[in-house]
Amino acid sequence: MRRLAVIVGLVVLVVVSGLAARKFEGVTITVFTQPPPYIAKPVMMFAPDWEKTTGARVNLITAPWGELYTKMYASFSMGVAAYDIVIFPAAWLPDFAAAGFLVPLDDFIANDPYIQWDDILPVYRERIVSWEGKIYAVPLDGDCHIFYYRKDALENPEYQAKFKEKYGYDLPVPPKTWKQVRDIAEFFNGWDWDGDGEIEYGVVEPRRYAGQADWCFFSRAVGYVALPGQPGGLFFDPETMEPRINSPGHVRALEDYVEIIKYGVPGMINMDSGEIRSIFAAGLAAMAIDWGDIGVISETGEESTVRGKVGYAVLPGSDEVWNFAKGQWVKLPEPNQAGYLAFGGWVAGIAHNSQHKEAAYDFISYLSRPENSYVSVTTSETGFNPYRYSHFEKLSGWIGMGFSPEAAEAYLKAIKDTIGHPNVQPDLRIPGQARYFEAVDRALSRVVAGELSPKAALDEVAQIWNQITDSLGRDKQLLYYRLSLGLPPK
Amino acid sequence: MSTKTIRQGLRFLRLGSIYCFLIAWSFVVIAPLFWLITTSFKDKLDVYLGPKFIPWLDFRPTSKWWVRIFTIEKDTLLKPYANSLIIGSISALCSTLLGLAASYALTRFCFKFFFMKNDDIIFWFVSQRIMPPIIIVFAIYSMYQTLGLLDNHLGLILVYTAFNLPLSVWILSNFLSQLPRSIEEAALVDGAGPLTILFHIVIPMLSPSLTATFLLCFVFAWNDFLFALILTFSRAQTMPILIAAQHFQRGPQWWDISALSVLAVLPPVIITIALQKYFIKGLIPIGK
Amino acid sequence: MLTPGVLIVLLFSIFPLFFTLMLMFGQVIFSEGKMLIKFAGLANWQRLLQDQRFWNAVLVTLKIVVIAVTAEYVLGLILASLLYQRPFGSGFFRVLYVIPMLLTPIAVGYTWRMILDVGRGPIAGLLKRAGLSPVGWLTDPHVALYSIVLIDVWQWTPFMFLLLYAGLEAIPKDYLEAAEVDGASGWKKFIYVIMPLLAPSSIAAFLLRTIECFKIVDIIYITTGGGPGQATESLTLFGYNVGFRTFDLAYGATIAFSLFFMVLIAAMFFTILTRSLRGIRLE
Repeated sequence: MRRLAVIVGLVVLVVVSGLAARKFEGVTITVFTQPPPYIAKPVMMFAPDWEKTTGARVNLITAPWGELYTKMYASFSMGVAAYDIVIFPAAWLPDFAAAGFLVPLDDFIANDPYIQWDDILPVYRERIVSWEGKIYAVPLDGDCHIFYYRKDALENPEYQAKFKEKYGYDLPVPPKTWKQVRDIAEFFNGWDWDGDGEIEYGVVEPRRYAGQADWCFFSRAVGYVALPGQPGGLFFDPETMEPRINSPGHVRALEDYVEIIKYGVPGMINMDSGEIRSIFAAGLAAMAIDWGDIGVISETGEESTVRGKVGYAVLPGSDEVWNFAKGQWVKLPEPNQAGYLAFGGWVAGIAHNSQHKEAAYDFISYLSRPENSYVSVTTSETGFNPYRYSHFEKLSGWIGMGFSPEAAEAYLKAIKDTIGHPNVQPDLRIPGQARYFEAVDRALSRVVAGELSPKAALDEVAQIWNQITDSLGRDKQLLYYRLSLGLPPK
Repeated sequence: MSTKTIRQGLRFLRLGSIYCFLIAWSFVVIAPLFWLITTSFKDKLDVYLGPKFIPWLDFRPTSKWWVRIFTIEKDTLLKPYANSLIIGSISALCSTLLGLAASYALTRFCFKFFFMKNDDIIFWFVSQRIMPPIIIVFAIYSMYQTLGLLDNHLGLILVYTAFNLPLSVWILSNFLSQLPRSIEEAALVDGAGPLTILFHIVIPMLSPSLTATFLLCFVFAWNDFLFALILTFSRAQTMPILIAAQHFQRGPQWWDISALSVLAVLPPVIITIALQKYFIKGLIPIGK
Repeated sequence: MLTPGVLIVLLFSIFPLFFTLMLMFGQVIFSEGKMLIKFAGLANWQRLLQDQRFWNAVLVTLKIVVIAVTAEYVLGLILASLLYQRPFGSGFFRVLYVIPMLLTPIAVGYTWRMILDVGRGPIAGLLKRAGLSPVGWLTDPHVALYSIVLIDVWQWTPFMFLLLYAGLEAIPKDYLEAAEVDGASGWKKFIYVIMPLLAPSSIAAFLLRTIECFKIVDIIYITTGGGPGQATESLTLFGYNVGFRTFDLAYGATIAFSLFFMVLIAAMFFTILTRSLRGIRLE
């Protein structure tokens, strides 16, 4: 009798624990993002283990970048969601959240012991994924622009001496103002300064329409218009919602943006943000602006000739900053450099019309938890850049990727300094972001082609921005803009 | 010098200049193809660091991209290739057959649809080709969403059939209107019904045109980008989309793009070579 | 017999046409997760006709169509005439010349983007070796449009070649012999006998190729993206950019419809030409 009871007890135990361990048995969740490897690779990396533990299935569907927004919108407006989880750029969160497309995640996160929400850098967990006080997505990737330069060029004493002769000041390493960048670019443009038999050039930056050049422009503008203590310099006046895109600071940044093409890799105006990365890694330019990808490709990619030769820094700025309150330029003793959280990063959200919300959240949490996300950001070709404190503390993953310890430290320091900068500027996070940026993108390509002058182009953009603001409701946009800056409503 | 020699000399000159032009144009055609093929054998740095022309002279060719496509990337590659083949051939077949039915009817019977007579109906067919796909694409997307035809073979087959049908009608109705009716009339007198006439008399006479139509419809379906882009996600992905997807976060992956493009052009080329004879004969009466 | 064909084309043209008309005269709003279309009268059309970008796209498209189709015709005619004379190896040439047309336009775009690259393309390399300065084939606003024409001509001359070759083959040999007996030969024969007999094929070729060329988008999208600035933005690309980058479907539909309108006019022109020619030829 006793033995029977024990056996029955064991069987029950096994059955119950078996059931408990596979909590989403039979469920299939669909994840939608852009084609592998970038962004989709981590999903593919972690899905098998998660599937084994939970009994669910992960169905990955992808579409080219240009289609993502359209297709997500379409899925949200269907009766039953085509996609349960959408991994999308944080910049689209306001549009999706405001339209009621995403599930608020506060309760899920509160009850989740694994996600370690506080490990995520404040700027990402508070500013990027929340909307009107609720959290709508989980960060999977941290984005900001940093500045790259060739140490073997800028730190070369012979070149430094020649530079000083020509320009009258010491070659700053790293440069702190865009004017210095211009001089350095001119100096290193058009000759073979690394002795490999190829001609090198000053800079390589994206300029192609629909090639993410608009973020490059804002990175160049941020130093001119983001005066500490005056929020909202980059985009709109936080009191009136008047566009600031055509301020003298922006105009000057645009003039720099056009001028530097002269000292850049030939054909630069046709290059998008992806192409410039490989060009820099192939050793053809002395300086570049990008997210964290150039660092990874340069230190670990097979097309790289610059391993160990790359320097990392916060974006240069300007010692002359436009003061909006006073309506004039002010000269600062130290150059004003500000971080710019370009793009905001890729985040994962759950569709409001998903039928498997718990399973979806479970998978997202699995992707984001510290141990797994560390692997994601230190594996090449995932496209995920660090966003948690824990990502910056351990170097082993970076070194395993192919970084030398010095390079890993310098790379992470630049990113951390940018994200943690006191004057860090978030990206535009209000509904219609895609439309506002599209107007800028077009204007940039026209100015670069010589069809419009910088001032005329930006004035036109300001007009279009006003039209967009009015069509979406000026008061609402003002409220959302203030919230995105961390300001209280008026 | 006799007139004969002069004439022979002139003939040589003429032949020579003919060949000059032919060879020049051959070079124009081959040169970009050569670049495409050699790039699929180049290392990344050979592409980024300046033009490298001749394999083994300017750079060391590597087969690693090809190997990767057929081993690691096998699954990502094989599915779009198979999809393109299935969708392309079935839709071309449907376009050809439906076009045959429609053109036969339009050239043998009299129709009147409101104010539209036969000629006008044919023009209406052709005008569907004029519709820029971009108009259609959004509408079809929402249509398919409701019908559940997104991202599957049937959806694309229907779309391509519908859009290549005008081509098929245009070509076939032109040829059919030139066909001497005497044979068909004789068969009618002998008591054969219209379907018999169609299958036993007209189709054999038409086989060159039918092959030409099939080939053109196949090529247009095989190479389409816009519809495949909008109406599929991943299950029914076709070759052009796969090629475009090689444009990663690192910039265009020139080597992969080149290799895939070469693969993508093989079926149409093979079909063209095989059907060469029919192709020319089939298009003859166009425009008459 | 006619019904299945008509039905399927109807299905794919009636609803989209209707949908486009609705969009053209309306405005798209997204609220509570659903897409609604609000009536807006002629607002879209007003905006379009006053939009400098629209007129630029019209000009770009017209330039490309006129130059490319004409060049393709001339080259196709030359090739067809040469191969008509059946020199040795004409079978090989025939197949070779068809190949560019069989490549998917996306692949053609990428190929030429590589070839015309300012720094790293083969043409740039050759120019450098000859000591000439580099040309911004795709980056110079004055040159970019002609580069697009060049690529289109490379890809689609085979189309013209095939149609014209077939047309030549269709000319009954007795006509040509009769002309030679009458004393016409060489150039005279070509201009006064062959060309008129080739007219129907020529017009058909022009019609088909023009219709397709008006819709040019793939090649431009891959090589220049419409740039530099607006130098190569064709109408279809303009519509695509508006529709997909800003999701302004109503305006995108308006642009697409204006393209449809233009092509329809061109097609009607050619069709009327064909019919009047048919009338003339009946003598």
